[in-house]
Amino acid sequence: MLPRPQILIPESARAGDVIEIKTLITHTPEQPEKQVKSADTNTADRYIRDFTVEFEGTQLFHAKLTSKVSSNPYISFYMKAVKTGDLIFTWQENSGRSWTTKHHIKVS
Amino acid sequence: MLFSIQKKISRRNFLTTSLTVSFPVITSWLLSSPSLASEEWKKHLRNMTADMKPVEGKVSIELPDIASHGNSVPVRILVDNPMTTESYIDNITLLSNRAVDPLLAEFELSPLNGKAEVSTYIKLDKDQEIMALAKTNNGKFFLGRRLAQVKPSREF
Repeated sequence: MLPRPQILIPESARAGDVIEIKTLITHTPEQPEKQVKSADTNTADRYIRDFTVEFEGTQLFHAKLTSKVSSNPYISFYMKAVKTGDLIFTWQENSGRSWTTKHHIKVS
Repeated sequence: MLFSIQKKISRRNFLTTSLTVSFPVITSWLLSSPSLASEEWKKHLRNMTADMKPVEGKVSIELPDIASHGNSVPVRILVDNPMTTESYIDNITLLSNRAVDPLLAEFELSPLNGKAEVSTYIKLDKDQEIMALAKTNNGKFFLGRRLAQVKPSREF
């Protein structure tokens, strides 16, 4: 199953509001019988190592994760709404693979 | 005294009060558990804070009293500090005393966040102490600690 990112964020906010951004990536390691031993990591040992959020090119949030965080990492944090713009969310697995999703937020 | 506490109870007050009340219990537990006071652990903390003593009482860790599933335990960390350009929390490190490598997760923040609060889900294979070390942009450290308990699983 391909990892599937999910974002929960208000569609719009007023300037100055502090809003919570909830994120989840469904990242279940494959079943043992489907495992393919590669030179670097066994699929079961894969986990999300990095999670970065950028707002209009500036880093808003960064998390360095370990295998002790749940397999489908849920992370929530806050953002002070200042202006309308795009948020870019990027998850990176310890194997180096990464997934990105974009979210537009309207600030009035 | 109890009545005066109850009158002005709020979530934060409740946390502080419960911490104060349980302090002797936690202290005796800390002393009775050799793994917690291990030299290796203290050394790790000293390395992280560059020998500065972290201030306790500004970081709250919210966890279930007893987690029912050790593979996914919700944890929320709140730091009582403003997030302005003059003073803000730029790093929160989540640690466990039980693991060989104590690092669970590390979060980088900035004034853009508006609030020093993060939450996630962690794996807890057994009871352990969870610590959150928050660093300010001025190089000060705040430490929060909380006992995490997991309901023994029948599967094992």
